[in-house]
Formats: sequence, structure tokens, C-alpha cells
Amino acid sequence: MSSDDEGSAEVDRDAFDHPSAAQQEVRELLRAAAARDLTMPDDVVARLDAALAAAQPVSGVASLDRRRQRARRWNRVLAAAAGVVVLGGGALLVQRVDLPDGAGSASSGAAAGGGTEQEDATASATPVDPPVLSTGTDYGDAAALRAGAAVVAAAGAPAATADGGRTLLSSPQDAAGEDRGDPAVAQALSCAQAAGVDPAAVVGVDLAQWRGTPAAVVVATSGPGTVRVTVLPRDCVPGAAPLTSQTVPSPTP
Amino acid sequence: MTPPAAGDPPDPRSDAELVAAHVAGDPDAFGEVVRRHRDRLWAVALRTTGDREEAADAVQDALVSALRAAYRFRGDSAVTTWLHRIVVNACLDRARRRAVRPTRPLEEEVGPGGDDSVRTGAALAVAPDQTPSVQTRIDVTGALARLPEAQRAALVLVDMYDVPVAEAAEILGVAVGTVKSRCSRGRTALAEILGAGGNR
Repeated sequence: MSSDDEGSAEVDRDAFDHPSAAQQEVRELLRAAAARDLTMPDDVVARLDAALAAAQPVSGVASLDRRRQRARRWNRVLAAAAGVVVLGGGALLVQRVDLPDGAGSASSGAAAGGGTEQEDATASATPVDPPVLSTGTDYGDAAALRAGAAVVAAAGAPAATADGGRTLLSSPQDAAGEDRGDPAVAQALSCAQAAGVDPAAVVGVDLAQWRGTPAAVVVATSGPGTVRVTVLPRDCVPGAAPLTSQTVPSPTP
Repeated sequence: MTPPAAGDPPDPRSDAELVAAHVAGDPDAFGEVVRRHRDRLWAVALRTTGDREEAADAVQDALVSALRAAYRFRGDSAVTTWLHRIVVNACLDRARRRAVRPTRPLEEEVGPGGDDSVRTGAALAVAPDQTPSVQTRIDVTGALARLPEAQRAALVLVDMYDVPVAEAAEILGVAVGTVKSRCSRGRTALAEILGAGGNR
């Protein structure tokens, strides 16, 4: 607080050591108010116990096993997502042959959506890690979230990383992959699941901000042509309400 | 996390030993630490936020964070100081968020001077009671809720709960002189609000 830095602070500190009668009276009132101490209410105790139990880390072998299970699940989901993007990219290339100015890009999403029968084969050929970005972007509205969803969705596209055309994907954080093991990601996914997001539908996470608050942006497919963007505090607790959750048009690959 | 059965002897381990045991994988250790300190943490959070729900959220967020970050606790300060620091910071963070994104608080009511914009939420955090001391408590906690968060937090720690100034400074992450300054200014403001010393 800037007022603490003012010149009168010295006077205030002296007044603390030598309180006036009125200040002394206030001290007594405060002490009396605290004398009958408050006990944490039972409902808060129950809620706290539940939150701590949910957050309790599993140790040793169990923890490793859980991480491996989670990694396998992520690999399946993201490999499928990568397959969709690869097929979409392929469709885009084919269309660009026919449309030199690239005007076919708007229909590439539909082409990707129609290629499901080939996804498994593609997925098994291109196993990928979860696309976790750490853009630090300060999102503030639906338009920004839609743009962020496009970036997150694109993070799972091998073609995108190969051509070097997407600057966010080549950011130092992502290149180093240092956020992939961030506990905030696992926590965000738990919170998102508690908020109704299907873990199998998650296509990526961006460690960013929401209106100045450190947040995890979880992007998941939600329906035809849409994705659900769920924004959670980095220190979220499963069951707590997300900062925001919005359904936005699916980003065009 | 298994709560101890009634009649179980108290865990003889110190707070620091319990935190170390938690980090080593003891599933019950952190719960024991929480049981020892939760009432005091709750009281501090309630007085600092002036709002029951905010206090509950802040304590929950803080203790979940502490549970996860316990491996970072090096024993440089007492466990209770560490926990208070996390809880108070959670309270102040929530207050800052609320200031940025104001919502209409349920506990808003007409203040003592007839100013209906004055928040006296902490008054409702105390259950109605007929004993004479309770009115004083409502007055002072209600007045406390009108102070800036930083002054309120300093007064709650130092004047209400007798936390030594040096420890309060550590909890609040500021210099000792800053804590003294905040307390002094808070006392002066409270004296004016409450009419203490015949200043009304």
C-alpha cells in the first residue's frame, strides 16, 4: 500500500509503540472481540476435509501408476485429435491445389470431421504428448477465448509445428515442454472434469490468465462446430465454480 | 485422510514433524496439522475477509495449496506462521479480486452512520447473542470490516490474536515498521468509527 511509504509512517510507528488512550481502547475492544474465539463451523470442516482428501497426493508406486494411466489416456485422446488435424491439413492441401488463393480453408474443418474412419491408423502412427501451452495471455472475453481456443487446438497439430508458421507453438515454454508436467495442469483437468468437462473431449490446455488472475484455459470439444472453453484458477479446487465457461465456435484448423 | 477417533491420544508429533511426515507420504499427517490450527485460521480468515463464504473459500484454497506445496516448507518459520501466511494471502487475494470485479455482497446493509454503502459484513459473521459483550464484538468487527484489507489483516493478527509484530510481518510479507504503521493507522481509524476515547 503506497500510503505506508509516506513520511508520516514514522509517526505511525511511534504511535504503535506509544498508543494514545483512544488507540489503547481500540486494542482492548479488539482483544475482547477475539476472546470468545470462533470455531470453524461443521459445514466448513466437512467441506475442507473433502477438499483436502481430494487434493491428497498419492505416493510412490501408486502415483507413478496414476501418471502413466493419465499419460496413456492423454495419448489416446491427443493422438485422435492430431489425426483429425492431420486429416484436416491434408484436406486443406488438396483444396489448395484446386483453389490457389487458399479460399478452401473454411471447409477444411468439415473435411477433417468426416475422416473419422482413418483416425485410429493415423493416431497410432503419431503418438503425441498433451498440448499444454503457457502463453501467459490475459484473456478477458469470449473473442479472446475463441482466439485462444484456436491456438490451443492448433498445438496438437504436428503439421503446424513442422512448418514453423505458428509463433506460439515455437515459444520457449512450449519448446522446452516445461509446463507439461506442471501440477496445475492435472489440477485444472480435475477441476474441469468436476465442472462437467468430459476428459476425453479435452483437446488442450493453456496456462494463461483470466482478467489478471493466473488461470488454466481448458479447451474441449462440445458439439458440432463448437468447443467449450473452461477457465479455472491455477489453484482451483475440484467442485469450485470455474472463472468462466463458454462455448465458442470451433476454431478452423 | 482419516480423522482420529474420539478418545484417541493426541498425536505426539510436532507440527514440523507432521509436515515432514506428510511430505514423506503419511496420509494422515497433514490432516492432523489442519485439525490443530483450523479454528484459529478460520477466525483470522473470517475477521480478515468479513464474510463467511469468502473466509471458507480462502481457508480451503489456502490449505489445499499448503498441502500441495508442503515439500517447499523448510522449517525456517513455524508451521503455524506458514499456514497463517498462506491463509491471510488467500484472504487478501480474494479481497483484491472482489475489488476488481465487484459483486453485490449479500451482507450489505446500512452502516452505523446511515451510509448505506458501508459494508458491515463482519457483523453478520457473528451469531446473534444477547450477552452485553456481543454488541461490542459486533461493533468492533463491523468497524473492522470498513478498514482497508492491509490494515485489517495487521490488526487481526497483532491486536486480536496477539501475534508478535515480527511474526505478523513475516505472515504479511512486509517490514516490521509497515506492520506497526498499518496497526497504528487502523487503530486510529477504528477509534474514529467507534468513538473510542470520546472522539465520536
